[in-house]
Amino acid sequence: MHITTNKEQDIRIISIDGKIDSFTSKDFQDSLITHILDGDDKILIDCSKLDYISSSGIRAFYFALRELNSNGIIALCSANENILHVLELVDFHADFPIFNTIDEALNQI
Amino acid sequence: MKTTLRSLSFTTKMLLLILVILICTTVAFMLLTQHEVEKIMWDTVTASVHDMRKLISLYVDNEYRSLLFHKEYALNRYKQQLKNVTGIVVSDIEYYHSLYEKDILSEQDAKAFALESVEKFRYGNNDYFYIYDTDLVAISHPDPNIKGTDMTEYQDVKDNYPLKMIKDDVYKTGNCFESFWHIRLDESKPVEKLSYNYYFKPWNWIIGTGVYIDDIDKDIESKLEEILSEFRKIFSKIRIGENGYFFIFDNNHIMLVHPTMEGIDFADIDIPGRGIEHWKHLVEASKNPDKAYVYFWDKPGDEGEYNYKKNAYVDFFEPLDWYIVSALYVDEMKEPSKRIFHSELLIALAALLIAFIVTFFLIKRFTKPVKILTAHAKQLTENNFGFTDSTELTNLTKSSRDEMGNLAQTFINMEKTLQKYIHDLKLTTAANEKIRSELRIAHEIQMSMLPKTFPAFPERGEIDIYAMLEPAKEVGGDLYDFFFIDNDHLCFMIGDVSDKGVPAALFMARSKSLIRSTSMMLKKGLSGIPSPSEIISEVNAELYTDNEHCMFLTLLLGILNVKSGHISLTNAGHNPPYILKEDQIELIELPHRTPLGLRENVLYTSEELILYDHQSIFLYTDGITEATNEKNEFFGEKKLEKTLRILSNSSPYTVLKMIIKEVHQFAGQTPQSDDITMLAIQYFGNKTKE
Repeated sequence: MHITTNKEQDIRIISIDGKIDSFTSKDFQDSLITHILDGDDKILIDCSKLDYISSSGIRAFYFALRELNSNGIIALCSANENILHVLELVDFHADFPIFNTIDEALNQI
Repeated sequence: MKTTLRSLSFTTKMLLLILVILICTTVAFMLLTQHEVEKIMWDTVTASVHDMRKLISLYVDNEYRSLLFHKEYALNRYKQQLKNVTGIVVSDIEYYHSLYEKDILSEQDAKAFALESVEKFRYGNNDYFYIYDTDLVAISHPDPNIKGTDMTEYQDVKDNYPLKMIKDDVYKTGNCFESFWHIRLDESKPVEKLSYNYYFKPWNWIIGTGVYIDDIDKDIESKLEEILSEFRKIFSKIRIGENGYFFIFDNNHIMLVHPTMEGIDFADIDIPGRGIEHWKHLVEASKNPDKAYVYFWDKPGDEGEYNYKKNAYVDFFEPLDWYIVSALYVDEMKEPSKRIFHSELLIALAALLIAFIVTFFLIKRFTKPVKILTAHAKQLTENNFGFTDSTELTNLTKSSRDEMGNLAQTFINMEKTLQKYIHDLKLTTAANEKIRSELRIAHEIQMSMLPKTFPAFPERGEIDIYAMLEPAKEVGGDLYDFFFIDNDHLCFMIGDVSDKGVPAALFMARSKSLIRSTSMMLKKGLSGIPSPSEIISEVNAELYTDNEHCMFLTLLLGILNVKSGHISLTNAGHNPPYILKEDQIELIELPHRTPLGLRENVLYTSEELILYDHQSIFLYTDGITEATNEKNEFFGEKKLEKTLRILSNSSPYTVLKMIIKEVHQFAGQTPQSDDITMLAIQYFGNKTKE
C-alpha cells in the first residue's frame, strides 16, 4: 500500500494505492489520525487505486471518525465495484459519504 | 568410494598443483634446451665437418700442385738436357758444313763426315740421334730397318703421326719437342719418349734425339703413393664425432684411403639388401658436395649389420679423379645433447624432490592454523555452541600475526558473539514458546466455545444442522452459534469480528456470550420470543460501550420456528445467506446495517422468510469468498453459488464438506489467511427426520 496526500481548498485528499488489509491498515489509520490531529476536518479518501479493503480497514475508518469533531467529514470516492460491495454490506454510507468521482466529492463536501 | 579431485585434502591439492607446475616447467625447459642443444651441436659438428672438408681439399690440392711442379721440373730438366746434347751434335754438323763452305771439303764429304759423326754419337743411357730429310726419309738412324726408309706414315702406339708433326713444327720455329709413345718389349703399358728436333736448314736435315721419360711418371706415382700414405696417417687420426671418418676412393672405385677397407675395390662390397651400387650413389652425391647424403653403414666395432645412419659429404677432386668422403654417424651427433638431457633430468628430479619435500612441510605449516580452526569449529558445534577450550586459538593469534592470526581472533570474537546470541535466542525462544502456547490455549478455548457436537439435536427431527469453523493459522474472530430459545425456536448466527489476533478473539468471545445472555434476558423480560433485531440492538449498544479500538462484529442472526419454518433474520453488515431450494438457490438480500460495535444507535430490523420442507438456509463468512489461490484470485460468490446449486438437495453436512473441499482445491498451496466458517440448517417440516 502506498499513501499520497494533497490538499485542495480545505479538503485533505488521501489517495490509496494497493490494499488495505490487516498488515497495512495500521499505516492507513495512522495517516488518517495524523491529518485529523493536524486540524484537517474534511477528508476525502481517493479509492481509484485501492484494490481491496478488509474489515481492519473498515475499523480504521470508524476509529478515525471517532477522533473527528462533530462538523468533520470523512468521505470516499472512485471506489471499484468489489469495494463498494463490501462497503455496502456493512452499511458504510450511513457514516461515510461515498461519491462516484473526485469532482463530485469536492463539489459536495 | 571413488576418490575425486574435490574430495582430496587441501594439502594434497596444493602438493599436486605444485608438482604439476614443476613437472610442466621442467619438461618444457628440458624439451626446449634439448632441442636447442641438439641444434647447436648439429650445427657445430656440421660446421667443423665442412671446415675439415675444406682443409682436406686444400691439402689435397696443395699436394697435387707440388706434384705437378715436380713433374714440370723433371720434364724441363729432360728438355734442357735434350737441347744441350742436340746443341753439341748440331755444332758438329755446323763444323763440317763450315769446312764445305771454306772449300776444305766437298759438300758430299762434309755430309758424310757429319753423318758419321752423328751416327757414332751416344749419350745418357745409350741414347742416339737420328736425321731425317725433308721427305722424312731416315738419313741416319741406328735401326737398320728404319735407316733409308720414308717414315712419313709412321704411327706410334697412340696412332699419332709424330714425324709429320715434327716436320710441320720445325718448318715454323726451327725446332720442337714431340712425344713418341712406345710399348716396351716386356711391358704392356705405353711409355712416353720425348724427342727434340732441330732443323738444319743448309742441308734440309731434321736432326733429333729422344729420351724415355716414363721415369717421371714412375717418380710421380711414387710421390703420389707417399702423399696417400701421408693421408692415411693423417686421416686415421681425424675423427668426426666419435667414430665418423674420412675416406678416399678413385674413379676405379678402389679405396685409396679408408680406416679399414684400404685397397679394396668398392664395387666388391655387397651390402645386404642394397647390393654393390653404394659407390655409385656416393659418386652421384659428389654432384651436391654440400648436401648430406644419408645412408646406413657399419660402425667400427659393430660390423656386418649396416644399421647406423650416416651423413656423408662427397667432394670430387677432379685432377686426380678422387672422391673424398666425409662421413659422420648421426647418432653420435646427437650424443652430446643426450648427455646434457640426462644430467638435466637428474638435476630436475633432485630439484623436484626437494621442492616436493619443502612444499609439503610449508603447506603443513600453513594449513596448521586452518586445522586448529576447523577442529575448534567442530568442537563448538559438538558442544551446541556451549563452552569450548580456546587456548589453542588464543595461542594462534599470538604465534601467527598474519591473516591466519586475524582469522583466529575473528573466530574467537565470533564465537563469543555467537554464544551470547545463542543464549539470548534460548531466552527469547522460551518466552516466545510461552506466548505461543498461551495463544494456542486461547485459540482452543475460543474453539471450545463453539458447539461442535453433531448431530447437534438428534432428538429434533424437524431440522438437520451442521456448522464448521476452519481457523486460519492466526487466531481469528469468526463465530457461529445455535441454541433453542424455547422448545420451538432455534436461534442461529454467524459472525465475523474485524481484524485478527488475540483482540479479535477476545471480542468474538465477548460477543458470543453477550448474544446468548441477551437472548435469554430478552426472552425473560418480554415473556416471549425476542426478534433478532431486538437482540442485535441490545448487543450493539453493549459492544459500542468502551470500544476504544473500534472493533466490530458483522453478524447474521436468525430465529427459526421449527414448527412453521418461519425465520426471522437480521443482518448487521454480514454476507447475505442463501436458501437452498430444490435444484436452485436464492440469495436473501436483507437491508444492510452497520456491524455491531461501531455506532451507538443503529435501527436494526428483522425480515421474515419461510423455509419449506427440505429447504436449507446457508450462512458463511468472507473466509470462503475471499479465499485466494496462487494467482491471487478470490474464490468469489459465483463459484460458491455454482457449488451450492449442485448441492441444493444435499444435507448440511455434505454441503459444508463439499464446499470446503472446493475451497481447498481452489486455494492449492496458498495459505489460508482468514477463518472459514459456514452454517447450514435443513428444514424437514414438522415431521420426524427420515
